[in-house]
Amino acid sequence: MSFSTLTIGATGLYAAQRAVEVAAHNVSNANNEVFTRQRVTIQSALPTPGTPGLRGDGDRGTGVSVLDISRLRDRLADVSYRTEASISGAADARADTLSRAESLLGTFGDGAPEALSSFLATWNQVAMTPTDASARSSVLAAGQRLAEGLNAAAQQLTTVGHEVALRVTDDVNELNGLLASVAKLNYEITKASTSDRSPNDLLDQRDAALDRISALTGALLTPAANGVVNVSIGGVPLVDGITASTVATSGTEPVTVSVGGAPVTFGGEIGGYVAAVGVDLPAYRTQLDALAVGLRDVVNAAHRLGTGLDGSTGVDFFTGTSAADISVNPGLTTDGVAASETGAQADGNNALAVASALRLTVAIGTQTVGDALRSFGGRVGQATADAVRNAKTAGASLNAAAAARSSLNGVSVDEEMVDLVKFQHSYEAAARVISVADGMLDKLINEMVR
Amino acid sequence: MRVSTLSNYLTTTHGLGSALERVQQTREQVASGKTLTRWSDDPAAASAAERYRAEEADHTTYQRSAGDAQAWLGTADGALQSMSSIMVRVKELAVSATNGSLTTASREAIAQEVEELRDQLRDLGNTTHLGRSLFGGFAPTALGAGPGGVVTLTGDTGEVKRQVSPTITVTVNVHANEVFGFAAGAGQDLFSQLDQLATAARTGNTAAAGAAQSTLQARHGDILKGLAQVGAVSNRVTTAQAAGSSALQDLAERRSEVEDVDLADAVLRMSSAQAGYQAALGAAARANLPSLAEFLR
Repeated sequence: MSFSTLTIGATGLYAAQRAVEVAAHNVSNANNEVFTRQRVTIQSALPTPGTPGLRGDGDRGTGVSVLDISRLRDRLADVSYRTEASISGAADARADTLSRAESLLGTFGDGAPEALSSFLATWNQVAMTPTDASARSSVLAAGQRLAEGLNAAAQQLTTVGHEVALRVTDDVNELNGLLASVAKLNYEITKASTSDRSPNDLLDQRDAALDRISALTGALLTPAANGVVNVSIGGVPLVDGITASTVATSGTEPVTVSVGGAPVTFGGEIGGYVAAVGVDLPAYRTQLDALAVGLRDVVNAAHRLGTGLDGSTGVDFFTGTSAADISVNPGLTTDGVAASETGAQADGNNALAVASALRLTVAIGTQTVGDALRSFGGRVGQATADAVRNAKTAGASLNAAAAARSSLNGVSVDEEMVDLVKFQHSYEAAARVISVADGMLDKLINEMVR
Repeated sequence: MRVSTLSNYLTTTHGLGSALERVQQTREQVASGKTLTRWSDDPAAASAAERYRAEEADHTTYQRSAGDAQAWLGTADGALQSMSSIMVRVKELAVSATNGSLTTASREAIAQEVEELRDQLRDLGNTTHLGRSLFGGFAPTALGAGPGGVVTLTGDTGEVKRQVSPTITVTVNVHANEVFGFAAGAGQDLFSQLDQLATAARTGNTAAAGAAQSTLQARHGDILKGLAQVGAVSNRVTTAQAAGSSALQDLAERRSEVEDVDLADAVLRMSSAQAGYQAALGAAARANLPSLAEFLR
């Protein structure tokens, strides 16, 4: 009989306590999205070698020891989550940008296409009553409304571009913070792992930062020695060991993102915004400008041929060179509206000619102004619908990846309860071992002497 | 598959979110009565709806023009009908004037009636519609008074046009130079001939009266030709109006088909979405309650 039974019992108590502690830590972090569940790894303690040559005195167990408290993190789930996060970030950014630009042509059913229809109707009215001042001034007003519709569309594109540039600036600021914290965490983690500690909660923090970096940029994450993770994009390092680069952005249109002065193509949310504002919006603007120029040329060509009540002829109806500045000719008066073909005041035939030129002339590509306006609306709508649908699909994939990852990494309260019960029983059993040893020693020491 | 507390929560919230989104979408459709409130709701349908709307606006414009054209043509028709019946009387008087056995008083009476009828014809020739001369082209009047009360042509040949359908533009006016025979040559016009007839009747010059009679016959023919022209144009406008109004109805129906909600269907979809949401809520409430902790005492 030796005292080692007491010590063995004590190691059991200790291990059970640690296990219960870890279970408690897990349960309390059950709803922490960043948290990775932890496990106590226990193993039997080093045995004491027996007395050589003595039979039945082989290596004797010395109880249990806590080897490690480890993080149960699935790397593959991280990779697939981060890929989805980057895709979803880019899709969301594009959908966000295009949705803001969707109402370019005004309210559906009461926007620029309707303004064009009423512009046409006023020309037909002037054709009927060419000397009527109110009919003439409504041509000018309807023309101005149409021009202002295009101005507003161009203005909206500028506003959206500006908002997106600000958004990219915010994202880049956030990214720089994240890069700095990853570099700092790399340092802490290296220090901890070289001194043989398990920096579980630091790793969790760094993983959370890396998740967000992936969503923002779609950067490449490369694990390196001593627990370091390097971040790079297109071969340009963003975090290299314990040093972080600073990302810069232009802050205005054209929106660019650069690292150390060299432009870098980003993925993720930042890349999505940069692409939307650099590709989609300029395409919209080109189409709008073509619309404005086509409208101006068709109306002016027909209007110049006519004569106004004041005898003026060869006058332009619209001025301007783009959607942003198209306007009814400020020099055109009510009497200057060229409704007359022959110069006679009661002649309204040129007004008819303007209306039918506007209805029939192929002015923009292979389309009339009205068709071009409507198909522009359709194209904008289609691009927005596609972008929103893509974002939805990407969001669903991201959700699935998040659920899959958290089902591997996350805490299950049920499991922890089972562990609690299990280790509670171990603890009771170890305590019982100690009391049995105590009883035996009591027998030996107190009762045998008597 | 392992289920963690958090993944259970994520799946549940995602499910609830998408169920609620469906409720929101269907409710919006029922409330607005439109399936399309944005271009992106259904870009192809939205383009079609906008095209129908633009065509409807054009057809409404054409209908208004056609109404105005009919008013012009109706007024012209009335004026020409009156002229024609005056011409019947003029021709009777011309026949009387060729009779050499009339008394001076009778001849004077004929001459005076002819002059009276000439004035009536002149007034009819200056008929206006909404302030515009019917027979004067773009000029404010068709006929004026020259020296010695001679009726002169002041109208021009300006064509008043109305677009009454996408493809039809009609000329709604007839011109004084054709209706009154100014185009036939100097002195051949209706009013010169009437003056000649009056003079012939007054002086008893039966030969001159006879000459005037045959020219007046031709002038009556001109008026009838004008009537026929007005009638023909009016028929075209009527046809265009009928086609236009059925096109309008058709366009409105087609637009409603793409743009408006089938209410029964939409309400049904809304209640099914709501039922789905309630089921998701119920499931979430039941699924998230228990854990082993509940059963350990």
